[in-house]
Amino acid sequence: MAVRRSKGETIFLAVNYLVMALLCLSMLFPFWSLLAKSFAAASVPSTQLYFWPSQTTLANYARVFANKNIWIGFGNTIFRTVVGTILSLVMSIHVAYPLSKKYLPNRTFWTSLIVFTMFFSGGMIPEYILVRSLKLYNSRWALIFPILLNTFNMIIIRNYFMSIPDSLEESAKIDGANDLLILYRIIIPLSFPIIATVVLWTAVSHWNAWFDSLIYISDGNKQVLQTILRRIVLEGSLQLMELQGGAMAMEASNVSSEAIKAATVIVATTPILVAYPFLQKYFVKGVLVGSLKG
Amino acid sequence: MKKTSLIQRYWKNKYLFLLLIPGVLWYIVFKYFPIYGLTLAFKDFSFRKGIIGSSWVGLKHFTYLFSLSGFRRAFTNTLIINFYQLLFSFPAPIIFALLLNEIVHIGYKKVVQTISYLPHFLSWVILAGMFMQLLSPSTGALNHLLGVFGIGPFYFLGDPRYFRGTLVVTNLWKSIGWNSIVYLAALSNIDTQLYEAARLDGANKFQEIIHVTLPSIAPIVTVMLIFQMGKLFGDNFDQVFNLYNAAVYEVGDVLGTFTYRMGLRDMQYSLSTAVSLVTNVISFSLVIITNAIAKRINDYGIW
Amino acid sequence: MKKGFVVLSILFLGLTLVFAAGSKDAKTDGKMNISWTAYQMAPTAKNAPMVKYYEDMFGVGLDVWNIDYQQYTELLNIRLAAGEIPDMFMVMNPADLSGYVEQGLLAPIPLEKIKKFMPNTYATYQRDFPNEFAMGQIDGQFYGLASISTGNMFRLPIIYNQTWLDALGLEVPTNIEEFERVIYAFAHGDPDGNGKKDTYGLSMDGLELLWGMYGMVPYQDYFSVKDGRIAFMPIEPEMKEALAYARKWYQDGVLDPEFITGENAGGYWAISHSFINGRVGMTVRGNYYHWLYPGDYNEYDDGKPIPNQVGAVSKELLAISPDTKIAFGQPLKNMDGTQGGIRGYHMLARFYGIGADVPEEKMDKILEILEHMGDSNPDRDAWATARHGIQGEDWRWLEKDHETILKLGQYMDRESYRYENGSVFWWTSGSELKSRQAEWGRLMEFDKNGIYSVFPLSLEAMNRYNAQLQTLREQAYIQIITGARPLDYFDTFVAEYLKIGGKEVIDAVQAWYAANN
Repeated sequence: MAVRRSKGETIFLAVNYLVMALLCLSMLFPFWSLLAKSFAAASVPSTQLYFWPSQTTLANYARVFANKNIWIGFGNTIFRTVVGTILSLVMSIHVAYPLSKKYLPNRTFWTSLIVFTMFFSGGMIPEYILVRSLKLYNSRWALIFPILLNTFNMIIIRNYFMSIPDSLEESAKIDGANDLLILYRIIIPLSFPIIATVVLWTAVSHWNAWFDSLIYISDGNKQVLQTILRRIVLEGSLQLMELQGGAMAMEASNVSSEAIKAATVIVATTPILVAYPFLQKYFVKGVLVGSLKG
Repeated sequence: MKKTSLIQRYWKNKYLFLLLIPGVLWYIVFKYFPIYGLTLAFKDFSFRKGIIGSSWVGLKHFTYLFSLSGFRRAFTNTLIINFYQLLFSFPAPIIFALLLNEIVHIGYKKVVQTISYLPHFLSWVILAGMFMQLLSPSTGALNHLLGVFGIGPFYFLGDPRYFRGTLVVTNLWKSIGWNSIVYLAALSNIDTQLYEAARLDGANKFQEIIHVTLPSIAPIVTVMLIFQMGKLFGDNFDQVFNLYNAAVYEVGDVLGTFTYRMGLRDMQYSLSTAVSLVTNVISFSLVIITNAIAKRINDYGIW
Repeated sequence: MKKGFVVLSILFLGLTLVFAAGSKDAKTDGKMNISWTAYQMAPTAKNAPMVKYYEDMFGVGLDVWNIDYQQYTELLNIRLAAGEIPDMFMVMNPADLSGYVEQGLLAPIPLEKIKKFMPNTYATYQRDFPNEFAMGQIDGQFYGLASISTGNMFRLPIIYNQTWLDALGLEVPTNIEEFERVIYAFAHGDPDGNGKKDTYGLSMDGLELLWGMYGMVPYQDYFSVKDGRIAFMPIEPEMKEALAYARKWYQDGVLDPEFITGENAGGYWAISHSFINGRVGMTVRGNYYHWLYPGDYNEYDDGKPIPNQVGAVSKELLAISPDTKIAFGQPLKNMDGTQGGIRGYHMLARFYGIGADVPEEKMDKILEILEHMGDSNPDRDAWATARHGIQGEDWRWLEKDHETILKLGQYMDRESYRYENGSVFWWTSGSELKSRQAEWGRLMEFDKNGIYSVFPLSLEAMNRYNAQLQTLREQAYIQIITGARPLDYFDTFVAEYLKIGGKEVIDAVQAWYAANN
């Protein structure tokens, strides 16, 4: 693709590249310092700034992974993230599609009914009572069903559907396709970028959620990763303040509480960070429309 | 006559409606069934009697809230800070997405994109410590840098004049990459033929953005803007709570931090419901108004 | 690819349905079943051995609620609001007791029953903690058994940079005059000898020493008795005097101009970065044990000495500057020679109550269990077993006469192990501290001159006005210290303070005081 550029455009591009590079450096910095800290040995002071710690150790990670509960947490979090995201996506698309159609009877009413709930909700107590009476208490589904639909995400999908030219659909209708067929054959394939966006949003919010687990789950085997990591961090700092109970760890420990904290952040975020590059191909400029039309 | 036609219309669109039913049922069960909890704002909550059995007290909690000088100030601060967010943090991800879109090297673009969303995953507790060191007037790197140009030093976190600006900029930095994703998705769906046509007409990059790119992402920008209006009372509790201090209460105390210090999380369910009801009624109205305006201008909206 | 995706997701959903199929636990075989709330860091496992152990010992079924202790009150309240009340009802925040009683969620515990079923605990209350015990009483009836953290007998530590003091030829100050000399020298005498003006006397936390000299804890609701009446010192004329000092220190560059953002720049809360980075020469941050230096005391395993662990803050400090020595000071004496104090922690930590509607027989049983689990249990093996699990498996004695143990197995590096294991029924009903660490703390006199509130609970009026009162207070102090407002603004502030709820709060506490003393 040899595009001739004017001088102005070239300067603009150069500046653009530079600005992006600087911005990235500033954004990489906190993450990098956490990563570096997570490898720091206990002898490295937690308050010092460094590019890479003078003494490194894997003991911080060993400590995090030595806790057998972390695997339980990973299992439960992956479950809620994968199942929750798939179900949410399926629901969102199927609600968004009818609402995107101007000819849906009483469309304004249905939309209002849904958007209203974004601003008015009953609060934690009735929601807890509801989950209890649905027999979802202490079940992994309690972390999925109450947030099955996110109105914001759904509206974003709906508006994307609306921006797809009607002409595509009309020609399919003439060929005798019904609404379902149009949704699956035309609309969804055209909407991969927005679907990827919503998948990312939903997955990340599932991955990071922990308070619902505290409310709805009492069984230790159903705890999510975030609650277990919070506990590991706490244990790390508890060792610094043990009041009674005497000698805690007799051998000089090679972990420091700040380094454990850094390691848990890395452990908690890396898996979900890795998901992004896989979705990225759907954000690449203008591939799909052209191929579909051709 | 009109009734029959409605039924006929539903029958004609039966597949569409079939798709909608499970969703509507979910909304009824999970959103409308618990909504009776809102009545708490008009009741004195009793643990023993439950929400339904508690006695009505009318507008008591609302008049009480507005009689608190701290509440009124938190109310205005929230509004002002969020207005700044709207002014600066709302357009920033759009501009970022446009700039990113101009990058020709796919590899570089992907790397930038991936890095830019990293800060979203760091909590304010962690970031607050870093900003405290970075923004210190005597030892912070930023003031050292500004000092080279002969500006400053500024006490960004301790001076009421700069605190709101600091909140807005740090939040912008944290969220710009994450918030740009939806715009990148919209950009990726623009028909390349449109660009080719524009280029044939002799348009330069800037004209291309004005005449092709922006109109194509206008629908999504509109919807995001409407929702942003609904967040004018939104909660940036974590950020403010971790960054503020007594010297900047005047300008930085927001609804979330104020109600936190009131201890509303514990037993005063009625008061906290009243707070959220007030802000949500206003937010909802703002959304309706913005939506109506948007519909008039470019025919895109939530309704 | 689309078809494959559909098949895959259906398969996955099917699998997960199996995986997530709920299991019901029913535990009723005619035994009395007691639901129990506890201070627990981790949920207790279903078949936890220690739960079984105590179920067998007391012939009851124990149903632990597993509420995460960091969000305890919030989570408990949701369940209470949904109509569930635990039989053994732990009140995490002592201030909440009156609220729960008003809401009818707690049962009154007859004093006769406490005497009958908890003789040892009652005796300890009578002997050592009569005030704390009395706090559990509302309108003449007991609703909460006071849980007492004797570790709180140690007040905030006062730390000076000994190396700086030596360089300047100064001593640890004992009164305000000496203190001013020291902090002015810290700020202007180049104590680190680097030739640069980059040091200060003190920062935010160090100011506690100044407030303490006047018997004040201005950022907390500490009430004092002055001339026989309840007084809130932070709005009394003494505060104005104290602010005059702080204001002068700020102007003279002795108080760190960045004190507003505090001494801790993220990370572990107890660390004063200003102090360990050599920016200020004194602080009162953390607890005494955070400042333990190598060799402060020894513990003994079978006669073999084990040196103490270095405190969390000392460790950071020594990593940055290995040669820095520290010295501990006592609260300052005022100009007139009266000994000042410094903020102490309240010993009343929690309340243990009995849920409303609990039948008498069950209440007796709960009290009996609490007696066994408390600190006054004379059988120290049983006492340690309740806290740490099975002797010989999870722990062994290190020095029994000092009540210190050595953790074994998984418990060694996982604090939450004991909670998973079911060691959740113990509670701190209050006992003398016998550990070597506490001995050292007493030796260094960290238990001397603490300031305590005569009223550590909370009243309706305090809940109501607390947020705006606290805000006004903190704001006024900062504005006066930094010179944004004149010192005489203090009088305006006090008038405003009393007007927006301060008076109601003091009157309410006065009423309580009059009724209880």
